[in-house]
Amino acid sequence: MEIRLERRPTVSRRINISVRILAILFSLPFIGLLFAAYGVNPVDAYLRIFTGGFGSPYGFSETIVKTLPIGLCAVGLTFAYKARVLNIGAEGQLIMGSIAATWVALYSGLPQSVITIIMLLAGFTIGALWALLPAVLKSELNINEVIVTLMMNYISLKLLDYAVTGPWRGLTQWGFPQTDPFPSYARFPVIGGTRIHYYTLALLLVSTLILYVLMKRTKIGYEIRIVGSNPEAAKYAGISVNRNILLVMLVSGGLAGIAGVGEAAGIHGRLIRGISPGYGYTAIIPAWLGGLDPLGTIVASFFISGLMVGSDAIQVSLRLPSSLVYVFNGVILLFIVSSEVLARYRILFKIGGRKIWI
Amino acid sequence: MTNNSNYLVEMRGIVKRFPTVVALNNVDFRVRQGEIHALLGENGAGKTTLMRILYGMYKPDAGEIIVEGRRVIIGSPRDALKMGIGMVHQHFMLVDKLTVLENIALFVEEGFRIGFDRIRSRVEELSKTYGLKIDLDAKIWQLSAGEQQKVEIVKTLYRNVKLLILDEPTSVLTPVESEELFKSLRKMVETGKSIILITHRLNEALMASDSITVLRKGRVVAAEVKPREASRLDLVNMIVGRPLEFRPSVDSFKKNGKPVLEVENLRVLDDRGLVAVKDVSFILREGEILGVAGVAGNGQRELVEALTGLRKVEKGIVKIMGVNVTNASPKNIIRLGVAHIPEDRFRYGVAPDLSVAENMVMKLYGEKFSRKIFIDSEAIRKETEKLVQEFEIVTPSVNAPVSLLSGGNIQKLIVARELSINPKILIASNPTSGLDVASTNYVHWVFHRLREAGGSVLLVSEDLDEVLALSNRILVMKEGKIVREFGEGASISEVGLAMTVGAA
Repeated sequence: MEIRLERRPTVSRRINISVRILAILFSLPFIGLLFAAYGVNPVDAYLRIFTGGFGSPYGFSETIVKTLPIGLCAVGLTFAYKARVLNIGAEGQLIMGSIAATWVALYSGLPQSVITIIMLLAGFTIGALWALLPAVLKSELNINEVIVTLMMNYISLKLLDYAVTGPWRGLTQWGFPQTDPFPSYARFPVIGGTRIHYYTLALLLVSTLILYVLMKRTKIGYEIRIVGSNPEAAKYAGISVNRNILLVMLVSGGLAGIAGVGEAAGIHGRLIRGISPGYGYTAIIPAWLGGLDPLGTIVASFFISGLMVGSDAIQVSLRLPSSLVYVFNGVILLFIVSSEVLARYRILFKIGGRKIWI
Repeated sequence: MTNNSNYLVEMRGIVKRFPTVVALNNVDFRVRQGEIHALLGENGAGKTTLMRILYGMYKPDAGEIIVEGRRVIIGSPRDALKMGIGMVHQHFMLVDKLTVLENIALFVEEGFRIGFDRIRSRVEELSKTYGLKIDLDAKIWQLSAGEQQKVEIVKTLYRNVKLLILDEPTSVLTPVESEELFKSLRKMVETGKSIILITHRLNEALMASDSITVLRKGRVVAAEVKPREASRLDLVNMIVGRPLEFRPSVDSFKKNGKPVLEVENLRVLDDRGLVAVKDVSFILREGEILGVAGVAGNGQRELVEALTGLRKVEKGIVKIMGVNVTNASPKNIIRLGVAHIPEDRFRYGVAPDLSVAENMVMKLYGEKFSRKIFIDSEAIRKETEKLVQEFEIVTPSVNAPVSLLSGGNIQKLIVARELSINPKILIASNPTSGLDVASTNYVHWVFHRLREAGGSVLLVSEDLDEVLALSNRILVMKEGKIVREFGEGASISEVGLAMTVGAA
């Protein structure tokens, strides 16, 4: 028997989607071993994860709550990744957005009627500026953006710690590392009975649609795709590579900043230490899982969020360690990333004289 | 010929399929002992594929190989070398930072310790026998392409091959070097070796070989033709499958057209920061094809990149249509009506992940194929379908990614795109490299038509035949300088000589 990989002549959307679904299915038995090692019935665990994340009204709404920050970051990242600008800094850009929103809410003294809109604008701007520095370093000095954006995440994390333990520590918070609560007019309204802050939800949906159209149908999207595919060809065609690097970083940083505003004003109602449990990093997964397509990325963000909510649920109900969730996510991601090759290549089995393609 | 025993190698009924094409369809191929056998055909005809099968790099899907009367299976180049079959590839397989001797030792030494002295004396002997002089202690990167080729050949001869396969050996050589190569090959044949010469150049096959096999689209269309018995025209028809429509000429040149491109004292650096273009001045006039001849790597690439805004000009002035465009952006230069067929089509020419259609409008999407900020996909599709048909680009569809196309078809796509912008000036670097005879002919006709319409072409090419056939004037570039200028009617030997020795 002979086994060979052959390149597929064309890669259809159907193949892309089915390969990813298969990857997730194949990852389940492996995670199952882990559950079994803890003495938990894997099938039971999967059912609990699924119902925990998608099956109940509460779980479903919590999944949407997590989809907001993850989705905003992820959709922005697709834009950068399409131009082959590897922004790993959504986490830091998100944190900076939440810091900016907090300043506006607590210290700006702006009129109540405009405060939410200014918080959003400030969050977008600061997130974008936080991404601008690595973008300029990349475009002007050709410094690797992966390292700079990653390092800047730590800077923003320390800034956040400084703010909530230092000058902005809440007077009414009994010494907890968090600010005083925002006044009610600086908080985002939620859909009744849930924690879904719908300003952010609306912004997520609108920005997804805009980015989708921008990428598929406009000159800007076309230029970005050329830059991502071959920057030298872009220069040759008269397209400014540097301008496009700046553009995609500003947009992805800005959207991550808005995610931060949503967390501060929609969920916590204040700035707290650890305002993001790594949403900006998690968002990298759905961006690639969704094929760098904004619509696919939203679906993938929802799926990943559901897994997170579902695994939170089994942590409590089955008394599993919280780190198991990370292993769980990691295994699924590993399978999805490895399955990528099957979307582009098909396997040829030669058994005797017969050939079978998969 | 009934006596089969003097065939060194026979390939029978060879079939090779690739995912999208049948590269070889039932090919029979035979080489006698002691002959130079030219394997002739267009690019993509299957010549290299057939030879890679013989050298053990590919496995055939069907067919058999007989070496010296015995049926063999050649599973790897190692097997091939054991049977006395060696191959020199188009792209050399040498380690840049090592010396010539070290490279040869790497290839020939089978034991653990390297016997440099033994190898040196053997190599010196081989060099003398076959007239392949090389400096054994020079580092590879210091050598010209022609010298590197000699290293490759000696390396293979060291393994006592009976059959040497050379893949397009003259594509990197000057005319003088080519002649030397053929002399060496002749000496090898005299000692009983056989040579297979893969080539798409008809003249070469006619001049240098004892026997010719022609491949077209994966099939043999003529086997073991004697060069003396074949007419040129017959062979062209066999290679292309139909007569060529256009015979290049330089007749329509109107003298003293107004200057469209003026270059004064241009100085440009290469990637390593060394001066690659040294104070070059010339003028390209309206309705003129100006050829730039030279061995690759003498500053042509840097010159072209500087003219098109892709490389910084250190000193000097570039004017297009009277406008100073020294260090202007590529966009502004494109807007003045300058098209550019780049030397390295994969580096600049295409965005491989994007579709054929998206690549086809890379230059005009902003003007012709968009409404406000939106791209007009329908208009792009129509235009692309038209150009794909006109230039006979083979692609599964206009929406297929360019990475699926063959090199020749990518080149056609680039040529089609650049001509579709109706350029006033076309700067073309090796525009027909990798194109088959028919497409080359078509591109030459389009250049000719562009000139008739008052356009100008700066034709930078390593193919002297091409430069001579099309150009009204020829500049010869050597070591970053323009060393000679020729008018119409220059001979290939004059220009070839200037390329190698410089100013007369």
